[in-house]
Amino acid sequence: MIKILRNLLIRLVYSFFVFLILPNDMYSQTILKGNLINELNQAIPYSTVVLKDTIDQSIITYGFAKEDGAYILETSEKGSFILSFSALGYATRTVLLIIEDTTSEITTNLILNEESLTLNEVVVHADKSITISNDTINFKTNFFTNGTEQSVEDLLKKIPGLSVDSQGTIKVGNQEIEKLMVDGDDLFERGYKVLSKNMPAYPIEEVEVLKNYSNNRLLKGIEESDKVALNLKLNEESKRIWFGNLVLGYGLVSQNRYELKGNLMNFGKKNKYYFLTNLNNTGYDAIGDIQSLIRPLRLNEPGVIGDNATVTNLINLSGTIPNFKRQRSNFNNSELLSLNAIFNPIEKLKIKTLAFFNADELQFFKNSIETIGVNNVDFVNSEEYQLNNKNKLGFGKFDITYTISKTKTLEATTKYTTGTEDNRSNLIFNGLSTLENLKNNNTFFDQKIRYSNKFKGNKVFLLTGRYIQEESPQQYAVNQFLFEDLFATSNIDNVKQTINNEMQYLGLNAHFLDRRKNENLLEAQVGNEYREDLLNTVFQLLENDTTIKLPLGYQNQINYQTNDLYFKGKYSVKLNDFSLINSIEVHHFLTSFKSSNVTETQKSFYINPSIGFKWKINAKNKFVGNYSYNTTNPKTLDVYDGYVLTGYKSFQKGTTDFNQLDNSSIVLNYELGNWSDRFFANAIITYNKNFDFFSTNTFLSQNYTLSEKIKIKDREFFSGNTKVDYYFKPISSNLKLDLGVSKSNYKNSVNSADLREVNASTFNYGLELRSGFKGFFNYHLGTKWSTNSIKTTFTNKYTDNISFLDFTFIFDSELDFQIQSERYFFGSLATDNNYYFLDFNARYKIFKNKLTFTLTGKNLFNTEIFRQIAISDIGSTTTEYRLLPRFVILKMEFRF
Amino acid sequence: MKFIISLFLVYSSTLSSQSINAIYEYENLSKEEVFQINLTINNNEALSIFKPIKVLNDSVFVGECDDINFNLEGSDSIGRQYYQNLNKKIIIFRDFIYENSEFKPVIVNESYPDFEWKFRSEQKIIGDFNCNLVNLNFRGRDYSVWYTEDIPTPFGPWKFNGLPGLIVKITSLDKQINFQLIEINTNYIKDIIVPENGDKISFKEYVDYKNKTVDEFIEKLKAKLPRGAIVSVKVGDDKNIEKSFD
Repeated sequence: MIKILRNLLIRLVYSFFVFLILPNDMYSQTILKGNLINELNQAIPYSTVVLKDTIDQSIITYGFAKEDGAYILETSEKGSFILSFSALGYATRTVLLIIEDTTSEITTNLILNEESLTLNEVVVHADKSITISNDTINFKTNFFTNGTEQSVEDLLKKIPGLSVDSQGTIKVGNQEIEKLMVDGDDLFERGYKVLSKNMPAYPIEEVEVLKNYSNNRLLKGIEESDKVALNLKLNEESKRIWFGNLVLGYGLVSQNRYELKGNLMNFGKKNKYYFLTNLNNTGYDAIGDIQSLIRPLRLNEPGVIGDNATVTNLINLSGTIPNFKRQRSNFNNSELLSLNAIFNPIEKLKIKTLAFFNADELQFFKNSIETIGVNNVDFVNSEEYQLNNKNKLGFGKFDITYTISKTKTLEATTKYTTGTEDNRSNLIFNGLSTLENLKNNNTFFDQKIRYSNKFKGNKVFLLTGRYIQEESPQQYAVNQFLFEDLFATSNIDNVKQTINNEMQYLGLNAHFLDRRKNENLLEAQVGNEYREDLLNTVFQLLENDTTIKLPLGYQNQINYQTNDLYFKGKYSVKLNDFSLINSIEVHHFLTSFKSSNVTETQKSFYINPSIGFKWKINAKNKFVGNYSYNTTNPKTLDVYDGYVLTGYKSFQKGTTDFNQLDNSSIVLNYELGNWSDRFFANAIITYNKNFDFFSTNTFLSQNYTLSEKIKIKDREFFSGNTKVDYYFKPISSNLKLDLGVSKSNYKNSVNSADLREVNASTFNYGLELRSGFKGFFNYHLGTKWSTNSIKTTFTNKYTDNISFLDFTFIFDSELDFQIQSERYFFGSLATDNNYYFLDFNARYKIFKNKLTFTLTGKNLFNTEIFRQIAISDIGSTTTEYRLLPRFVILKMEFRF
Repeated sequence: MKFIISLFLVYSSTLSSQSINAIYEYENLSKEEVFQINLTINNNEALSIFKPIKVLNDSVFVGECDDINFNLEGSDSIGRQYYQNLNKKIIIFRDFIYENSEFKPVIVNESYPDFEWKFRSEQKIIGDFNCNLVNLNFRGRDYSVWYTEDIPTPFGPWKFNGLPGLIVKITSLDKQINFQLIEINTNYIKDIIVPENGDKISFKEYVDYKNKTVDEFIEKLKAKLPRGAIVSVKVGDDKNIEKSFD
């Protein structure tokens, strides 16, 4: 016991010396210590003790009291100071201190007076970079930029939650944006990349992310929408500036290839302008860039009717290669100019205009050998085909939106299109030189008016009216007469087919949406849609310019009218992770068909029900399904009763039987895991049963084909597809497996024989491996086999394979390089069944976002001929296509 | 006996001095995450609870299907929590690590890090508070920190502590990390519960996992892109609030 006490004493003394003498000698430290208690003589724990300079209040040192209220501070500073004591719930006290050279310790014991600090939900209004309100997130750009951003794209990359991929696609989360607006005005719709890539970043003050976006402002929060849009707000001083870009490209080591692309725009508070031009002969289809402006696709959107009311042409001579990159075979010379403007003359009125002109000269080359062998009809046809197409297209659109009040809007859209096409083909059919000439004129007028009214309690009423008028006359001439067997007439040396195809549409629709308090959505629609089609066709047999004969059964004078009075109801219910969508359509059809032979009127009534569900079983399992039963009315091109020449040796006609067609379909989709997981699998199954459908009865002969539509029963279609993703960590690569099968079963007739069954099936499987290396180099390779077979009175089967190998080198943000190679293998071709392609692209940014040079090489192996085989239920066709030869083009992109 | 009880009551009521509830908005812009931090301060303890602000928490990658929501940062209903104890000088936190392609919650004990606050003379008023500026270099990032002596407490949000007043605003030099006090309430009594529900791992193990996670993710997602899509990710660009643990 004594020993312990003595030890303790020695330690105390020792520590006293260490404490007092050592620091004093070495650093001449001053110790400030003491105890803090309250008025009740109780210790105040965890108080803050700060030693400050008397003059500038700067902090010399500070510390915190312990649980027992004791504090110790050390300082080597000398002079006069303020010692401040503060604790939560007590008034702050300060003491003036003078520390001299000799001062080693100052003890300050204090009593702090209670003074409760009451901050009841004090809200700090700071200048926040992000403000979130309901579905709008607002970003003040000056918080996110550092001055290096040139384009809007650069700016958006820095906004949290937004991403811009290498193609310029802007996404919020995983979802592509619907539109990119400037001060609430949308000039580009889905073609927003033109804006994001070219507009400078500096005029933009705020970026708004609009979630659950609705194209109609009054439907916001009521319609089912997972769309997302962006709005850029401009600062005052930068409004009304002109900016844009210019791309110039010229072929280097090839025949002359060129490209010119320019964008010019100006955004003021009231008026916004955008000009676009594209001239090229590199196979690039420039209209694709503005397609979304011409015919915006708004499926299943409230207040949209008549989008499918168009005229379908009977004769079409344009050429493409199936399952192949169009750019490789598109010999073009395109010129496109588009002018686009928005005016806001007064706050409540918005006027949008769009006009564009496109001129194109296309060429297409193919040689084919057709082998027919069915029902004892056996022959081989050969064809050398060259198509020259010249077309011109003009388009104008005029949009007015008038905001009557906060809850009422009136919108009107007027569209007008006019186009001409001149197709000339030069072909050699079985050694016989033949010329085709097809002239197409198309005019399209479209007027739409929509009134929206929002009521209390999340109810919206939409009233839509639309009128469409379209005419598409075609004049077709062939300078040979191949149909001697068909028409017992002599002295004929050429034929002509004239088609007058007109359509008028008038639709009225009232749509009511009610978003209930429990989030369930009720929709009801009542509407009437009337459509009238006129189809007049004249087929002439001529000797030079003299019409010799108008064969009977080859002329049409059709007036086809349908009136659809309908009611549509839809109810969506959501229960936790399960949602159910039920809908029903009740149609009353009044159909009238008049031809030179037949006049028939018909009333029909039918019901189309549909039921669907979405079930999120858990985070890793999702199940979606849908069943629907549909009755549809036949279209004009299904019912015309006289043959029409639709190719230089083929005739087609419809059926006069215009009863409705019934079908039902089921779609099931199952998802295991999430896309970003190491393992992800998705399976989709579709089954479609047509209770009745239009099949064909075909009469085949070497020189001509007659095909007539017939209505028969029962067609089935099944398809299943599975995709599996697995990421291999040791090689940093992802393996994708793709497995698909489809089967269809139908009946048709050849040469008036009995109906025969046709079973067509495809089976494909493929795999891909792609690396995700962090370095500058990455690879991506893949291969895919597909087997097609057709089983009928004979069996035809072949297997093709397409493989690719790509390398990417991203050296730094200025320089990148990509190589893409492809191999096509056609199992059914005996010779020349391997085709190789190599393309490359190198990009060098000289001044970031100001000046970029790109070197692009296409078809480096100079593969000029590409052969494919296609099988059908009557035989097979081997076709050789001519491709754009190798070219290398140097492009300069300049932004201003 | 009566006397003793009343004395005890008085004593305990003084011991539990005023508590504070402060709400911060926390953004890590490069990681596309925005959280609300609920900071409760009670005597010698403090707890920061991170609540994701949903709309921005979905992280960003190129998707093939429309319906993918995926989070680079693991999360569950409890979320990230950071507990500080002034007496024991420790931080106990709950965070998520990425292992075998899955996020799992962990509980980590970390001794008080050394915050070398560098006091500046700048002052400004934020909200109603007189604020002073300090600079800090912590785990690979430089920060400007505004704190107020009007609310004397050594605690701050997340792991921050040791200033002579409550932290009002923190901005990293690259502007990617931001803390902003948005609401404060002193009439607030809530018990502090030390984070639980997770595997206990050492701080060293935690650091090893953190360093691995981001790399693995980026590699995987790049490998999953469809043909033609090219993404460049800068090598070694760590977006975590703690970039290095030297």
